[in-house]
Amino acid sequence: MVKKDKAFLIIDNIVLILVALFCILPFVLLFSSSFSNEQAILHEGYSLLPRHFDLTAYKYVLNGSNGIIRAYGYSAAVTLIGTVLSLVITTLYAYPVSRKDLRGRSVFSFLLFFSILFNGGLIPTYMMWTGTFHIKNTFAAYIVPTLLMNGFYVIMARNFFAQNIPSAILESAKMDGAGEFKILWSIVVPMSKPILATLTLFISLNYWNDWQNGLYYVTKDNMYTIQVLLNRMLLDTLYMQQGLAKNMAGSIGASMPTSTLKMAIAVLGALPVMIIFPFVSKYLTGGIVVGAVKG
Amino acid sequence: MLKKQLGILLAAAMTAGMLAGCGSADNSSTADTTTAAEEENAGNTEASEGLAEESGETDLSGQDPYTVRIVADGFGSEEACAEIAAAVSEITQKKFNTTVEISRYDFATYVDQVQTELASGEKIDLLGGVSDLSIPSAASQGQVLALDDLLASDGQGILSDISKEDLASTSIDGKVYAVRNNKELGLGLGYVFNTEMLESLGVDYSNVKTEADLEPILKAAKEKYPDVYPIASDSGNMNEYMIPIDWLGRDFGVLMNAFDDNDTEVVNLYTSDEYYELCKRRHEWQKEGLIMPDASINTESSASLLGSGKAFCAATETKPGIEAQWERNTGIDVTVINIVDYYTMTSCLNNYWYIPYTSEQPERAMQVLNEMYTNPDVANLLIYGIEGKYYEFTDKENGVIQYPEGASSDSLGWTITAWHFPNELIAYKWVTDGKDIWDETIQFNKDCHPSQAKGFVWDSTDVTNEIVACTTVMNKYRAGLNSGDVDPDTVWDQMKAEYEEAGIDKILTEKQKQLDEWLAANK
Amino acid sequence: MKKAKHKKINWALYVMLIPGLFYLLFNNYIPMTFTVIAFKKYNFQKGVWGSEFVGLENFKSLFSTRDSWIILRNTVGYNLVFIVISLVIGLALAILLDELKSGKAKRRYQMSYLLPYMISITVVSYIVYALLSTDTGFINNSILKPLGLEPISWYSRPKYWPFILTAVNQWKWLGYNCIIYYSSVISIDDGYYEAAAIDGATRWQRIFHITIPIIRSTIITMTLLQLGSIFRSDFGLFYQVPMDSSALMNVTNTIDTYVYRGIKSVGTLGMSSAAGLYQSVVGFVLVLLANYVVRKIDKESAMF
Repeated sequence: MVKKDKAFLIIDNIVLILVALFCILPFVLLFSSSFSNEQAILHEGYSLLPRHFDLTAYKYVLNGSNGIIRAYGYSAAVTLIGTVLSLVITTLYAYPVSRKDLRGRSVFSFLLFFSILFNGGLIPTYMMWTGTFHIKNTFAAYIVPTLLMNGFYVIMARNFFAQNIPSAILESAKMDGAGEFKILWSIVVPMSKPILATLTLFISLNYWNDWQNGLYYVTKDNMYTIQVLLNRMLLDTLYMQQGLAKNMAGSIGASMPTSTLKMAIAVLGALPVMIIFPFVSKYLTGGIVVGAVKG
Repeated sequence: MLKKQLGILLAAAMTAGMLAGCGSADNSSTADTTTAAEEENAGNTEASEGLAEESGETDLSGQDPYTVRIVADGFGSEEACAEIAAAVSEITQKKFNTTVEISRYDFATYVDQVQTELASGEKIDLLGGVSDLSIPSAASQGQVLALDDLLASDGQGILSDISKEDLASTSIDGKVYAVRNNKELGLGLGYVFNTEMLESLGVDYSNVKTEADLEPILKAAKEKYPDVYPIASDSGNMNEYMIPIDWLGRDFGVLMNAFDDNDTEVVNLYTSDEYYELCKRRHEWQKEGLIMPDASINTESSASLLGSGKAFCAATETKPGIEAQWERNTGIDVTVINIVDYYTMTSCLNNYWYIPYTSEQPERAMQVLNEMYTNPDVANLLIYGIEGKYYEFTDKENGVIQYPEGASSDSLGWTITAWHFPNELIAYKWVTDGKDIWDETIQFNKDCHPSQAKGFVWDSTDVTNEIVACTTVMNKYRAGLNSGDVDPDTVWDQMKAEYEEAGIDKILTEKQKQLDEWLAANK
Repeated sequence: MKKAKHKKINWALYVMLIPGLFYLLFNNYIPMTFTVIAFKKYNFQKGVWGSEFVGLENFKSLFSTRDSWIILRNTVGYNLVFIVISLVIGLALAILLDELKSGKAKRRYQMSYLLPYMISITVVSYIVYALLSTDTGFINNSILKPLGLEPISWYSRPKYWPFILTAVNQWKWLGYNCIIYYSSVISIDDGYYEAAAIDGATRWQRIFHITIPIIRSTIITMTLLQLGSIFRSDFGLFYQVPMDSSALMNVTNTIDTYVYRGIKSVGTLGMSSAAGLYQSVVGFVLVLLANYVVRKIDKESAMF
């Protein structure tokens, strides 16, 4: 039995390592081409080790006039504030819906679920937030539209509460005269650290990586986040691929990103996450229960 | 329970939507009437406040204050937009008591951003049009206003400069919806070469008349520089067909020869013999290595491939100053060989200015547009920025300018898009274009052979579904065929059948009908 | 109101719902009404409600080409394959991870699997290009060439792409799927396994008779939600990753790319709305059906 176990563990590890390589190797290609000389890539092709080590691409992106430092700052602030607000509104919705004694519970669940499948699309959402709430070119533009409450995450939280918080505990707290808000804050939240940690990770990744809100709701370049800044450069490349570049060619000072530049942009966008990620990963395990409510 | 809740929600939502919808429509119409009245008053009572005006013009400096929001293509930083807007406002304030606000959006996002703003009723007074914001679609969807009355009342400077024919080219059903820019109004087609390589081959290229004539040159280049692509695509595109096609606006159905005044048959380019021949030739070239491999999915711009010495030549539209433009973008010496002579058609007027339906006071917008069109100071500010900070003179006498020492478009936050603003021909000249560029352009516009269908505007409303279907077919085949990646023999019959099923005939018939009517009325 | 008498309504719970409800109202439900323009010839000046009603005219272009069938086949086909594969791989990795002893190793693996999830699909398309480009690509240059094989022109050979797209999609999402299943797997009480071990159950029996039945509600919820978007496709994956190559169109064209290429470029706002509505309605009906079936079989696992 022990011997068999050992053999299994070795195979297990080999499989997991192969999958890990499958995930990581393309990243090596990304990194090394971002440090390569553009000419070398055009002439000799992409490779796993940088060809003719060259920092031109980084020098171009990090050039002070691009405001990249400020953009990193905006990104950090958006991610921080957005994640906190989103966690609050998600928990506030998920907790009542997880309670079996809430009347109209199925309606509230359905409203949530329906919003995952149907959406009005960009334009009507935009009309709502800019026309009625005037959030264009404000900080809220990054936080509020689309990202603030994700139906799927609410369902995840609802299921966790329903499965892991015994109703007996809630009952006894009520006997002691605790209000619902107090129960939520001092009993439910402490017992739900795993799911909250997981949601924190997913939500913060969404905020960090978001560029669509920035693209449509923020038109002032001194308010760009890092992803908006980088994606605008990438979009220009796509634009050229669609054969619309004649206009750009006729302009003075329109930037046309090269392949190494694109890779450098990608690295700069993902790097901070890769650095912070290992520190939060230990909270990841055990947080997610997406299944239905039991019992 | 559920039903009832949804019902309430829906009702709430509908009222909200209705309010939003009505609000925007009302605004513009009331604005119209009130300001028209004010304007009359202004002329009489407050004339004394204004500065000296040219004789015959009404003094408009006493109008109520108003801000005209200009939206334009290309990158402009927040700071640069504000600074330049303030400088323009100084001029417009004195004349019209109007200030100016400028928003610029990157090329890639411009159309999306503008469409979103228009859909949500955001105020835009003057909108720079590009080919993706086409006049027929903007007009038929009610995104922009008809300009006839406004031009008559506040756009005299524009009217005196644009020919009737050109105004017709930007009209739908006899109403003018856009004011075309003053710039080169035609095009030629040709190839741009790396001069150093071209000269080193020692071949004679003076007799190149068609694309096929390039073959010996390309072969010689392939032999001498085996690692260089003889022809490169531009980020996957090789859409220059080296045929003088009149596109008859957009969508499908073209006149194959803009120089032949007797040919008025609308045909589908993509199933024509001429196109087959071109694809076949390019496919042969592809097989012989004369066109870069994977040309249709290449992600590098031809400028970057030429500049890095990886490519020998690439297709290009031609016009005065085209060599300077390529040299600016590649950083190497280039030679342009022209294959199709200069000609002009309706689709060449592909940059224009609109007054969107969200303008609160359209006649104030028109006053500013007129100023942008006729006042060199305003044109220079919008195109280049402020003297001293954004540019400096290299040759003041001839109005030739360049970036100040150490500055670049990145540090200044202003992309120079002379073609995009109403009248580049009255502005200064960029140093790389040379002092004669605008004279050359004016001469070019005179020399361009006008297609007989110039001025014809295609209205696609009745065949939108067919156009969507045919566009799908086109997307499936065009890029591969254009670049020689796909052998036309393998797909030709199926492609033809698919076009037919998608309703190409209906489009061609409709276009032919419209064209015939137009020809009968205008020739 | 009568019922409320014998059971006290807990108002505090409803107060908690308020921010979320408002958000759903403004972010989702009011904008949703805009989809009526799918049935209208939309005119900007007349607005949503003032525009002319045209019935199903805007839906025509969705069904009018010979490609309509291919587009449908691709969209649904890829989605079904993705649903199955992501379930199998996600679950398998989760179980394999669970078998490991060292917590540190578990975390390291998880982290490397999640890396691709963190970058945008646009960047993924550049990486794929770096791998597959005929002339400069890594596979042709550094793998096929040294082996003495002919370079392959990947972007013009449709036969490879169903596999490439599936692999790319897995690459991007396997970490995410793995984490979701992994956290359900580890929440299983060890007692079940100990009992099974005493009964002499093999590893396979343990997986199929304990692990999977216990986490079935997670599996079902994930699958139902994916079914709901069976008519949607990741635009970036099918448009940007194949570089919009026309030779590949038969295997890469999906409803979303079709809408982008055709309708968005030459069509109207009404037509794109029609396409979106079509996708949502089909997904919604499918989920209701599937949920109904699940409910019949196993009430506890149904989503609502």
